[in-house]
Amino acid sequence: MPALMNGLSALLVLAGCVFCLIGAFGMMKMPSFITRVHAASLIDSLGAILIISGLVLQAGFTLTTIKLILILLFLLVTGPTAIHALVNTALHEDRSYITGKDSSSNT
Amino acid sequence: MKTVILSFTSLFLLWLLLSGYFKANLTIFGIISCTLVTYISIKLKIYSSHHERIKFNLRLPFYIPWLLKEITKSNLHVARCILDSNNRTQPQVVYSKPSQKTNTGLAVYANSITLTPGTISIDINDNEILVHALTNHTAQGIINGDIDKRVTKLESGIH
Repeated sequence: MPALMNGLSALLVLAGCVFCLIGAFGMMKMPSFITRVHAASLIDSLGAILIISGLVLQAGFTLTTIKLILILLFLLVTGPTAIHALVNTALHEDRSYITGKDSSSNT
Repeated sequence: MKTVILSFTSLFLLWLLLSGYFKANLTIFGIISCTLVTYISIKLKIYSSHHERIKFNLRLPFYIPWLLKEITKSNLHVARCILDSNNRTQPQVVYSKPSQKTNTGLAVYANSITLTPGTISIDINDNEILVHALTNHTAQGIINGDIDKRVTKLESGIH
């Protein structure tokens, strides 16, 4: 049973790392500001969820598990807030960041 | 007064969970810091009536697994878009008319949109949410309004 738990948690952490890597790769590869933000949101959704659930399986029924779940909860609330703040600032700074067109040709 | 006591007890419970100390002399420090935080919150008028309080919602245990499923699906979709060598993204802006009535419901809806990769809520007007979608597929998900319906259903459980 412990071997199964270890294997499952290793699998989850590895899958989370893969998603973080894909997100980081997308941040480099994507062509514009807003598509890079889309790629980055991969990291703090499924990347964080998978890694923390893998660590929860390692910790078992201890106080550490509660702390990990609290961390995940705060990440899932603050991550989208940060993304929204970033993109909203970009919208008010220059609309071309969002629409991808030149701001002079766009009303 | 009820809110003050409720917030003090929840703060102290959080302190106990995070510290893991149950000895008397250390718990006193926890009580002191919780009292200080509660006092500052009273001074900042955080407990005044116009703030909406988070309430426990019976429909939440059904909403969260559904949201996790949606997150997984759109994660795989966006990951495929990133790894695809020829650029398959169609960045576009979509308007969504939310059907929620309370501020909490609107916040949950906007947060759920941003949490699923491929869609970001950019701005909120009086009755519209400006959503940026990475591909036609994710934009279609917003136009269909699946998340909107689910959050409205969730919201009806709050009151």
